[in-house]
Amino acid sequence: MKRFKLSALVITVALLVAVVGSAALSQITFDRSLSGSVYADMDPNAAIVFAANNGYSSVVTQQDGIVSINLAQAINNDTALGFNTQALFNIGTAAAPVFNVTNNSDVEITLNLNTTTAGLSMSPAAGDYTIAAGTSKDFYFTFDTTGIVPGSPEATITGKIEVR
Amino acid sequence: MRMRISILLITLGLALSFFSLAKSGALSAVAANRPVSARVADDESAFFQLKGFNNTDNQISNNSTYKNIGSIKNNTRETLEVSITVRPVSLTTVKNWSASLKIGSTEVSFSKNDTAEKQFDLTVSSGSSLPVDVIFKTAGESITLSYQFKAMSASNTTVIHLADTSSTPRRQTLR
Repeated sequence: MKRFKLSALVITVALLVAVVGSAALSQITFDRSLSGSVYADMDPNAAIVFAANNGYSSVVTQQDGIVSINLAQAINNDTALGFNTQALFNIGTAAAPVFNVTNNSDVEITLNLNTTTAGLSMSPAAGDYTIAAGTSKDFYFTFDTTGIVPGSPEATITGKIEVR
Repeated sequence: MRMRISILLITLGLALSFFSLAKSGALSAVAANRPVSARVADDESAFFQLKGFNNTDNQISNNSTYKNIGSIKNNTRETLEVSITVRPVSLTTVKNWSASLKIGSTEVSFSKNDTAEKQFDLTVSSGSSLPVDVIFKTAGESITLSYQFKAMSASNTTVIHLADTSSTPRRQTLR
């Protein structure tokens, strides 16, 4: 009898462990002991590695470990200048991309470009921003400035490349 | 026997929890936001700099020597192969006119009833500027020249298209 009770208790505990692990209960929190290092975006040991491609080292820069992309640098480093309005720019090509992202993690990641103003897009075409674990992908830009009025708030374009 | 069953169940439970944890999202989320920036400028302070093309009205009739009516400048880091297409417009009332248009050292000529577009093919090195000059003959009436620009670096990594639009005219009137 005593062994039976013990077995029942053990089974219950095992089932509880299984339920907790399944994430079926969304309010469960986990405490984990972690050890490891934090790497800058451009460090080849980082989980997601950003790298400037040939000729674009001034475009893809890193500050405090975080990559930023200044597209004006692809054309000219004179901050007094900008992209012509009512124009179409190709910045980089498939054969000569601006930057490269390597996914060193063990899960698939997806990049998205969200900008404050329409017209700036990242290539390859939207929907092809997924990078499988252990692979890398090249990116370049097109910039259609149609309808963007110089001097207006929309003329200063900021955005984010989201990695998820 | 019961002890073996208990151990088996515990092992099974732990295995289930281990595998389900990997799918739970608790350890799999990766998220980062990285900034991108750019700025749009008018043609006179842009990477492909145009001066004198903003629907400029030029009073130059019947000059015998070239008169400067503008310039183009390559403010990019690379040498650009530039194609400039010029098309006379607003000709309905103009009966007799001729124009010799020169950009850099390349020249094209237009004459009365000439509505066909003509093209300049130029190489503009980084940082260099080319003057746009004209000799214009008319019997007192004006014409307007509409421009379209296409500039491309040798590696095709920089490609620029500039059109003549109502909101951003790239045209010059000669009178």
